[in-house]
Amino acid sequence: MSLNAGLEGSQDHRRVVVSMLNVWLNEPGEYDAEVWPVLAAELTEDRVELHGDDSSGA
Amino acid sequence: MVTIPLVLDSSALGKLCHPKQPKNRSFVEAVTELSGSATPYADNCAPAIAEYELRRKFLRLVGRNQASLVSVERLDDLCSELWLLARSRHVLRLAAGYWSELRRRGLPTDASASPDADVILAAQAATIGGWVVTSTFRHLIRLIPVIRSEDIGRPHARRVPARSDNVPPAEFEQTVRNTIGPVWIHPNQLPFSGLQ
Repeated sequence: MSLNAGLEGSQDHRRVVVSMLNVWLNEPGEYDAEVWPVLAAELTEDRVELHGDDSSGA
Repeated sequence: MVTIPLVLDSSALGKLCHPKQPKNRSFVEAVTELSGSATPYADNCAPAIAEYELRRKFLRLVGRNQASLVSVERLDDLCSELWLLARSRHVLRLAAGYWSELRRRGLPTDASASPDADVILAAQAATIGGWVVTSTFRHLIRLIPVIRSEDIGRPHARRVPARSDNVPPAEFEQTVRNTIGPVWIHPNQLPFSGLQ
């Protein structure tokens, strides 16, 4: 396993991300629930769900 | 400090941008648990290619009035704080090697609409020894260790144990692997070292 070589994000940045996500998790409204199905369809529309190995060659 | 880079693809980044969606909540909570402590096990990375893929989807939805700028602003905020992986010349050279090797093996690099994005994402992860977090394996599994975002935060996953500085890296890696879910590594994965 290759380990980071000093390029990783700082602890301050990680803390900000966690704080940010917690704010969004607790925001009122149903925005995420309304947008996600459409976005999920967009993200997967042109991709192949393989659920593991594809056996098309090796 | 030993921290494993989790390289988020566009679907994983999209989940973080919409954490209140019930399907995304367990993933977001697991990611924050793994990376949010004072001694994190994982560091979340946002490859430039994944940000690009997601941003263009957001903008398309905004143009159709199917999403608001909230999604775009959240992506901006996330990418300003996550470890951003730039698309360097080295990454592009490696990606070109991946692409040609996949074609040489007869794998359909043009089967998905974004094969270039796949090989660039894999190259970005390979340069830092990262594991790609994704919802769709595509051909990534032939290029780089992959974790399905659905596998992170599964109910059966063990809670991350307290960390000790004297844990050997191999043991630590196994602990993380057991904790966050199965890492998929194809037996015929292309060798990173041979493509530089």
